[in-house]
Amino acid sequence: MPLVKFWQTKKNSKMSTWNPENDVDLLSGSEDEEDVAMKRDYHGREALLFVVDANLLASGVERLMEALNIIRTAFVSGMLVNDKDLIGLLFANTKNSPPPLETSALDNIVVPDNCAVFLPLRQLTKAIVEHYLEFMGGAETLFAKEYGLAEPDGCGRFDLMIRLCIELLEKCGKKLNNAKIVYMTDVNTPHPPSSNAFQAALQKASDLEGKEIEFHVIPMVDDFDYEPFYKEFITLSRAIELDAFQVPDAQVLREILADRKLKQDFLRRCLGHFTFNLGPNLSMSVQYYNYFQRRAYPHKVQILRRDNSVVQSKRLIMVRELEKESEEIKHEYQIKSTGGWYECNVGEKNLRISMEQVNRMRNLHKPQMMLLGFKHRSSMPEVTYSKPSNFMYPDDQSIIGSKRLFRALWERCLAREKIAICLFMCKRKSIPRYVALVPVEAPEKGEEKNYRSLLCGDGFKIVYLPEAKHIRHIDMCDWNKPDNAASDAGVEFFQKIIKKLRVDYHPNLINDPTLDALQANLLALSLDFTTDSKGMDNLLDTTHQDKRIEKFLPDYDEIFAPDVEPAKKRTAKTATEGASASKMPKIDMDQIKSLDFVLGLIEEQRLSSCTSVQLEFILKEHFNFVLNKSATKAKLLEKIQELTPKGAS
Amino acid sequence: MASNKECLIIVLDVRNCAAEDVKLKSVKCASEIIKEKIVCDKKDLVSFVLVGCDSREKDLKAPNVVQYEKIQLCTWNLLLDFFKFVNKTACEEGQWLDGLKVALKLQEEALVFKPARRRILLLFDFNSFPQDYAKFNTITDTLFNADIELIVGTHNISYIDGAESGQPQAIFNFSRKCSPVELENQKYALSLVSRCNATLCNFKEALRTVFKVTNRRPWSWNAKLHIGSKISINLQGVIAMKNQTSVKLKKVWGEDNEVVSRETRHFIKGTEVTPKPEDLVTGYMLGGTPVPYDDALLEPKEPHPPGLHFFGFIKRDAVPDEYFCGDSLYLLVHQKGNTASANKLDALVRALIASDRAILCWKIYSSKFNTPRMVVLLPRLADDSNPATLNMLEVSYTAQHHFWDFPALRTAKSESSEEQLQAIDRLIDSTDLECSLRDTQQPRSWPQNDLLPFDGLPSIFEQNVMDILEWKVIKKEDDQSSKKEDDQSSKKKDDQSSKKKDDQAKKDADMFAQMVKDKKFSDVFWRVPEPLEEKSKQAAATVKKLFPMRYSREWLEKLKAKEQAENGEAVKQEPPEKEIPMPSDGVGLSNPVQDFTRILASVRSITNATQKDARFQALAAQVRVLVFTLLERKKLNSKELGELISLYRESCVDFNAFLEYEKFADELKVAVRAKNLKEFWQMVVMDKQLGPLVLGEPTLDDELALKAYYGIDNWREEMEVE
Repeated sequence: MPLVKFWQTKKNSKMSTWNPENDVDLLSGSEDEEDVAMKRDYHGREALLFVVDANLLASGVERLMEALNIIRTAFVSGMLVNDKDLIGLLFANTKNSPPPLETSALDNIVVPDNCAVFLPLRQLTKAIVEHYLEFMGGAETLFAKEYGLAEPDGCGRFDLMIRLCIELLEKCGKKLNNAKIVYMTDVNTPHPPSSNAFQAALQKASDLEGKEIEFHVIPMVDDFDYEPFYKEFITLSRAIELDAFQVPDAQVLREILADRKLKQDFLRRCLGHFTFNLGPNLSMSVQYYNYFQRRAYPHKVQILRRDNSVVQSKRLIMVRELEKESEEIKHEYQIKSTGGWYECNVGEKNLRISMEQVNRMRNLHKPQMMLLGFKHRSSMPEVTYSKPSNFMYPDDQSIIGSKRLFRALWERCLAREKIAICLFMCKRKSIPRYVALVPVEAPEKGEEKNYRSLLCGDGFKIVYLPEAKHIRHIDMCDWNKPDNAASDAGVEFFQKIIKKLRVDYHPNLINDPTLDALQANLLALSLDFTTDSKGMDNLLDTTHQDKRIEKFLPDYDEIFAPDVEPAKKRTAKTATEGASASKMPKIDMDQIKSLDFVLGLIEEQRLSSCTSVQLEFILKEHFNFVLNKSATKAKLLEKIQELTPKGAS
Repeated sequence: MASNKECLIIVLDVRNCAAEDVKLKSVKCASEIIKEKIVCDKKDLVSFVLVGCDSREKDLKAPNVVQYEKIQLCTWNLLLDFFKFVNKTACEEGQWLDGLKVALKLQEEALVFKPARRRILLLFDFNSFPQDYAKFNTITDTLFNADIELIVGTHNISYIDGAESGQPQAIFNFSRKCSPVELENQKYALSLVSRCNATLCNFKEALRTVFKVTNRRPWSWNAKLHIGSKISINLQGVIAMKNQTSVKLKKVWGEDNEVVSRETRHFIKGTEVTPKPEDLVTGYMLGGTPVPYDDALLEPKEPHPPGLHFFGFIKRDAVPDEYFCGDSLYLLVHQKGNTASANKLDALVRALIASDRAILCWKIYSSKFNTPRMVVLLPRLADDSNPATLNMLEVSYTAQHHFWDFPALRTAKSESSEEQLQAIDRLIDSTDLECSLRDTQQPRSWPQNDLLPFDGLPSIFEQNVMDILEWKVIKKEDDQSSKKEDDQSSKKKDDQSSKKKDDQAKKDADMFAQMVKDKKFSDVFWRVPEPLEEKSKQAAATVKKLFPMRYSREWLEKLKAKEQAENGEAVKQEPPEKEIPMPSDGVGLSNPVQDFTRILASVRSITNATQKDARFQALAAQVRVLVFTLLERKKLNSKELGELISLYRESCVDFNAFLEYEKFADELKVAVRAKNLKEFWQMVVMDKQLGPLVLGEPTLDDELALKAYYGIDNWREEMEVE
């Protein structure tokens, strides 16, 4: 990403015309972490391999259908949001192994017994989704017949299944930066403990760890027991300690999976690693994360109307030196957006700072965090905001022993309600910022089952503190009036309104309406889907609100005076006061339709009283001549004079 | 938009009798202000007044007082002129009230520029030279009535908390005995605070006060808050905080005589095409399938009505602050002068506070910027200086949220001892930014009871930019003077000019690098506040002692490889010659020490980390077996054994094989006890300190463990008899 941030263009994403004059760069450096995340995505794709346990069939076909339905929504949303992701689907513990639609895809892959590949890892296309939808339509009756459940006990070899998954991921033909296996099941353990197959299955966890493949189990029942197998398997696959395992809420896992989301592995999806210096010679290694990502819209492209081929567009910056008189191009070259230089007007002088110098200045320090001191938690202002917070977690990979020191600091800060104030430079060339580290704690298991449990684990929240100059001091004296205060009746009125219009906030209460509408349209266009997107107009519909508070509304008019709009800002001066009035034609449009009248004007030298539009009309109407649009009034007049037959008047 | 430009007159003390320190700091202070205004507040007007100039100077407005020729915008020329101006011939005499009088006159002249704010900064040494206070009341009254803000800066100011208000209060230092005249001068300076709301402060604080400006006419966004279709409140949104720097740097791509344009080129699978605009249609990628999506074909929709559209009342803290997004915090206040809306907003805010609720609503900025955004409105009650307001923050959508899976921090492995936790507590206490000062009534040199107040965090980036600009201006001045000389001497050397240009560019780059290195300007921010520095250093050292930390070699190597890959250099395969070929033999019984040294050297030369570790493991296993075999011998070669064990021990440090060595040491002890090799134990193991390895500085626990290791009391009796 270029260093350059165009405030104007950022603020106004719709602005399409570009004017170098407007490129006032404020070097805000915000959203650095997103740049990092973006960059990393260039290095490979994300792959998601769904594995559905045929055992779901055992307790009735509904459970299987629920799993297939979750995958359906994940397919659709995956297609809409991350168009480059690879997605695959296979069934485990089946009786039969019917081949996938493209059989050739499995040429180099050995499919073991009791496994059936439905879709090898592919970038989703319309055809694939249609194929899946078709399959889903008949799955209720056909799945048992075509795939069936492994005999006698529904136990296929788990280790062989994992091996197949690894093979599919490794041979998908694309570079991956993030590979995940999502296993949907309702069985607590794939094999009876103490069996050989059980041990073999556990051993596969270290393969996953070594190959950096994430493994997620999505329990299709709420009372899923991780103890017999999955707790150990998952901790092994992630190389974390057994007692660090936190039992997730099965229902929440399913819910978020439908959004094609998984609890993300902390090791692999961080924004960056850095050292946190607590003092001279005392540092630990930590990593940081964001709580949410930038808005992901479907990828916009240009398409050739003729054959629907995708046209890539690249924006170039061209610099040309022109010959003064002939306007011929003397010299022409292309420049990168990271090229050029900065200028600062310091009065009579324009100082140049080259990009190299800017970079050097920004690179004075390594990415790091430094402890400056502690404060009490209560000293934080109630509302303060500079940029979205991040989360920080220790990283024992780089400096061994970091986790223990981090935990000690975290525990003491929690117990003593302290926050740490630090200076933080998150990556190379970024702006150092002051941050407050606020200790946060994962909720106790089972204590809270709401969205907050998804939000944080144990660690520090990085709150970015605004610089002194970011805080605007506003003197409210012009607003302060003694009669601002409301009567108690007014307060009571609003309390009643509040009672009637309460809602419980849940993050998925509201979706981005613009995105929703766009996605609904796209699905309707391509897959003939109708979604129940309500659209923005419905959201702004107040009928429901009106109805809820209907009976209080008469009080409203009684308690509060009607809104009197204060005097508007002074209006533009009238013409009599010397300001320029808007242009009024001095000559009537009807009159110039007559050639004689026009000739009269020419003779009386009054033609200049006409507006340019009128002159254009005259030229076209009477002289059958059209000048180009950019012609000035003077040019128009000249042309008319030139075309007027001598002595015609 | 109302312009908020100000007019600032800086009055400086240049009397010969003024302390040199005061004069230097005053000039520094003034130049910092000019610098800042050049870069950030380009519309502000500035002028200067000097107190204490030689009365023989021509342009004197009052006895010993000189004013700068005009009131003007800040430019680098002004800064350079200012440096010349302050060096006017000085004398002993000079009245600060005369200086204020002239400054007031300048303020009056500046009224034609219609400044929104008028301020005078007086930088003066209130020393033991007598001043005439006859005009004190008139001048302070004028200041007060004209609503001109006065900031007084001097060197010997400290702060204490006021007995009643608890607010910080400026006082003069009592470090030495003052003469009656000096006390008198200080008394008048102090009374400026009550007479005309002046701010009395030290230089550092004066600078901060000048930069901290309040705005009476902020830019605002007018909007109505609708609840249902009936209730509506007229509001003004003003920016309360925004992550935005005021340094105005312009990105430039071409010289003045060049035309810069941005062009779009089209490519299909890498080959450039030039389609006509009508051939192209906008679309979206649906996975791998492009779907044409012509916005124009879809029915054009009416823009949504601008304003704030109520969605629901939620619990005050229902939206976690982690989900706040956007780049600014808005403050919503009622429309100025609209009492009905003020009443409604006040009632709403009080009702929200009483029921601990906040508002979730849709924000539609205008009919042009029509994308709806979800915002949360947090209530704030009215107080003495503010009416009831709502804070407005944008909320991210659920589709954007991440759900992380973080392993619990509290595991058996990360458990700390009581002692370790105490060290952390000590670190927290000795680096406390606020509490260590709270209960003392000692005067301090900063106003707030906080070494790093939340509203006073500097902008490191801006500071760096300004330092660089300053360096460039000064360099340019130097260059111009040296260029003149150059021009005269080298007029006929045009052919060499291009070479010279290159040289110049290189020289510039070198000079820049040198300057960055010399100045270390950002280092000043990367440190613990000075009063805490020593204490925190000690506390950190204790923590360091108790928490063993070490870099992982594997990680460092990975990092290095990554860096190299990023820098575009292919990771160089170390030439194989450099690796010493692995000897085919192992460590033999006859010459174990030499064998071990030789093989270890070739192990060390292996570049592949994994391979290297594996080889070392194999070698180590061999050595361990060898040691025990040698111990079995009837006649012990203690020297050889000692050498071998200590070599092995050293290599374990290098290869991070601490645990393995510990295990070996335990086995060694068992073997020695079994064979009752008392002499060997004392002469070799204890003397050469071949016990288990300790990470970093040994802690008390480590030392106890080592003592326990070396100590073998119950040697078998018969040996003693022997």
